[in-house]
Amino acid sequence: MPTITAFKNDFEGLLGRGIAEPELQSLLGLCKAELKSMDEATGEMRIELTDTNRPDLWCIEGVARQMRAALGSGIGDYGFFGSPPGADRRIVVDPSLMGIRPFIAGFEAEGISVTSESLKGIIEVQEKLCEAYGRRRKSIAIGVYNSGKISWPVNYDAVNPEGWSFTPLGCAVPMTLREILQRHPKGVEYGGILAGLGEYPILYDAEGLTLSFPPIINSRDLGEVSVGDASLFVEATGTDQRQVIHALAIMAANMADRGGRITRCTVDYPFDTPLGRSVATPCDVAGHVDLDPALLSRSLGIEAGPEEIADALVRYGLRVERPGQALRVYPPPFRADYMHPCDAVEDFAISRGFAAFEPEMPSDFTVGGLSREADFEDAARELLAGFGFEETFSNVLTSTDALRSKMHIPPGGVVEIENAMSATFAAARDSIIPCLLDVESVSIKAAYPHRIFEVGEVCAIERKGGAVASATRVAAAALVADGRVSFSDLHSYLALLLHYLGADPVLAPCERPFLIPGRAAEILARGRKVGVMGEIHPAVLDDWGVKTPAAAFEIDLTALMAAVQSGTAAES
Amino acid sequence: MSEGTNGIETLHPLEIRALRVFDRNPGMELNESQIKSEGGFEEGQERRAIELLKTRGMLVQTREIKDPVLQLTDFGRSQLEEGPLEARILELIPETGITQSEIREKPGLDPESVGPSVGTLKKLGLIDFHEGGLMTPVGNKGIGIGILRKTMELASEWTPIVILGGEVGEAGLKFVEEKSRKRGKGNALFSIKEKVERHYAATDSGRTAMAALKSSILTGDEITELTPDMLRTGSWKGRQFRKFNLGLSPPRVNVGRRHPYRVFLDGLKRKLTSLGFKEMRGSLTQPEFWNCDALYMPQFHSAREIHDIYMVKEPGYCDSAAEPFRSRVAAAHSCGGQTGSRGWGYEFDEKRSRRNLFRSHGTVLSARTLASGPDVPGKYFAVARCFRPDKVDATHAPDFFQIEGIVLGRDINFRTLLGLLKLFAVEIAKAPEIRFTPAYFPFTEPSVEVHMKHPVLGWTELGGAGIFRPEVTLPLGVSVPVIAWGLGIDRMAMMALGMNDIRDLFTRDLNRLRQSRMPVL
Repeated sequence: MPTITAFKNDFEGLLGRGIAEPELQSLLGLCKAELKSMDEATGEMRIELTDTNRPDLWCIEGVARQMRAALGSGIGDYGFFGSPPGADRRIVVDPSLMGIRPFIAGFEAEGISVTSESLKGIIEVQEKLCEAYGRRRKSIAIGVYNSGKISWPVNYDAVNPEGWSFTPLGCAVPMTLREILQRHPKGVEYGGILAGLGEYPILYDAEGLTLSFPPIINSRDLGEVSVGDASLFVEATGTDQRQVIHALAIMAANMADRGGRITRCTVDYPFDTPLGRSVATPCDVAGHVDLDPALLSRSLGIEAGPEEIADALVRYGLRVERPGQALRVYPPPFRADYMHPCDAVEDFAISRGFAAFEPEMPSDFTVGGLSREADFEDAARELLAGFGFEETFSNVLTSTDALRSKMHIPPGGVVEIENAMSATFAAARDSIIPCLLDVESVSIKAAYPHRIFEVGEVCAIERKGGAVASATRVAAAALVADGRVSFSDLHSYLALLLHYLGADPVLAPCERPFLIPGRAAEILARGRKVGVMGEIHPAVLDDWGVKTPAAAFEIDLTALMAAVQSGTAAES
Repeated sequence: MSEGTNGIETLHPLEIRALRVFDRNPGMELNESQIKSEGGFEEGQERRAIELLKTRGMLVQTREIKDPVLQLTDFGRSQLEEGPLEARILELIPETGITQSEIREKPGLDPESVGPSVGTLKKLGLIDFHEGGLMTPVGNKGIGIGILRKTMELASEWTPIVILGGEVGEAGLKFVEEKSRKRGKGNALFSIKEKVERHYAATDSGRTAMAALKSSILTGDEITELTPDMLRTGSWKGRQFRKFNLGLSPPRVNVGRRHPYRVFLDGLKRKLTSLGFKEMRGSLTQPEFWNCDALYMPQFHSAREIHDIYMVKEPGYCDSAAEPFRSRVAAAHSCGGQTGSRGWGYEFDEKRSRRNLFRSHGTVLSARTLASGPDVPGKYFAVARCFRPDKVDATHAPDFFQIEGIVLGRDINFRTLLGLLKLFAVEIAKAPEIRFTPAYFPFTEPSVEVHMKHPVLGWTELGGAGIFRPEVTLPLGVSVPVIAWGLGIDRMAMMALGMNDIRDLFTRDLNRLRQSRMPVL
């Protein structure tokens, strides 16, 4: 979730009035935001935004704008979204970009006095949009330039990485695009986005001077913004046209809020795009929804008339038309989150304040209950605890080492994590006995005897025909560790447990690498294999660092439950 | 019990007997064997009495003396009655002399042992050898025989070595040396062990207790343990029962019990079922379709990135989701389908939705339930283990639990959603004061976060909730409004169990587990 940093006096300037902390706290609810910190001395505040679908709020301009609407002074005038684009302000796209980074949008902003503070603000918004909304510049990258130096039109082209060079920001000498990716810090950081491409995007003006190498770095000649610059050119490039235009719309609205006069630019595509071949940007990304007052009332559990609804929506920065019974709701042009009338319902509720809604108990009668698995699990747990076993509780994630090599089981057959963060938690357990041995390995100082058990989910790989699937099963395992441990001690508990659960067990000899040969048994209940039991092999105990003999059993409760069920059915 | 009796009514009969020994020897320091013989204790009883009295502070250990003590070996004990072979051989040597081979022929002697024993007698200076292999006793052989026998008897009584010299002289000590257990020599008679002798004296409180004992009616014959025999014969009648000392800490026992964290989760489940919720279960691994797509999380959503979700390595993909869900969900994403929405407006990737992952939230079970013909009205919950790639630390476990659920019904609306959350706050978190704030989840609209005023933690987030978007419910075949809710339980569990590290919820150390209390529910 994005967190932004801003200064209180800058914020109050955008808001149009002073604001005390308690009021700020409560108004931040409008933006689904929370004040994380406020430095009384410097006025620096950190605000966390939670709405990942409202990037227009990820900046101090957006937060202030949302509050202005609620305070009655309106969100501001964004009429430029509908004004004709500047005649010569054109961006020409080359066909070669189609498979590389096809989309671009841009505008010019005049009349902003660039101060060191506003520059900081511009960069902060730009970064938030590129990093969080643009997925680390993959789908959106934004560049800001001193437009006074640019000769129009601007060309968006793709070039050979070795065949083009310019001086990037932060450097003194020209470098080829290839060198930038290899040596420039931003090239190293973001170069991965261009991996595998034969040609790289480049933005240059009518004179052939480089503006930038999107999405990596601006040029030092045209792409450096300094305090005192009077007019700026802002562009966004990317892979998703709607996102590109949306991000640019937010940049434009922010600059308008700071006094900028926005001139739209026209992008000329040599190929078809969802918005056509000639696209004036920024453009309205919001659309509209038709809201039925009855739907709103039903959704919120209130009675609200059209006037009341319209009034609250306007106080949330929306424009409302009333062509008939339904309300036509227009979000501001830089909000792309409206997909369904329910979005307007929520905005109405936020505008009214959640405190205005009296909680009401749902009146429907329903029957509650645990799942059959849980009932069966709980029965097993209850019995084992009653037998004197202590219940342990482990994570499902563990290491393949614990499940295989430490159990002397050949590798394979484990559900592993593709993108594991550490080898310690890289696979889901397929058995609980390793978890119990893990407990034993760190509990050698706890007074013996140890009688422990765990009942819980395990992940098994199942093969049906040729297909491989992972299935979740419930297992119950118990382990006894003591100076003297015998197979028959544990056998008594097993027999009693299964008897009480409804299926007396039969043991059949088997071999398991982690059990002592001749002291390992497969557990059968009503003719089905439901588990395994035996004395743990000393070599396995050695590998776990367990110094005390141990015996264990593990039952597949999912299988046992099926066996018991089928038996009961047969008997009746 | 009055102060003046100094707790003597709780004295064990053995303690009373031991105290009386000290009472008969006022001011004296006594060692264990003295206490044992004077008190007429059976083996080991005196130790128990001394330990108990020490715990009460009535006796104190004054000295500890470690003495080498002469003992008989097993072989030695078997020879005790007959006397040592050396003594028996000496008996057979006349003043006139005899040869070894003649002795070997005497009945009752093991010919093999004669040689070494004769050697020992020579070393002890008890015999001399003459021409022709004749041996004769030196001096009065009766004295020699006496010394050998006496040494053996003293050994049988565990005599300290320091005392031994005075009793049997140089010859005896030499005999011990020759016949002690040494490497490579069988048939040793003696072994020397270190014996610890502890001395004790009565303390002031011991003396007070003795005085109190004298004036009391305690006899030392009080019943400690009522036996079936006493009940059968009625021998308990007319006798007193010893009163027990209730101040002693009980011995430690390890017993079976459920795990405290699971008890906490069981309590939540019980609460939810009592509120009319049915439990949902499901697989730990899920396709992206159910974990994300069905919940209207766009495929480009940041919470679906590789650093927020654990992917399954093998099997990486599963079969397509069943129809009509597959097509309806895909349509909802790309253009809204039949949901009245414009959709996210991107090209839905069907392959991606077949990708297997470790479920990242319990909401996946809600989506599955919606698609399987749920009850209307209906309430469902799941205590679901979930997985997210976080660095494991005090607030992040490798896998963790979420409590999530849904409520379906024609009367479901935003106010009943708030009512339900209020119910949870009161019934589950015991926090009557709550507030609601706007929130964002891709699958609900409106969305709300509920904060509660916790008696200890202050304002704390209890959970998130909302009403499922039509883009979620309609493709899954549900046309009534559905509340989706989730409660954060880690912090509640840690509070209830008195922990401040989430990893302690899953502690592997049995010692710590045995110390942990049950949760305060």
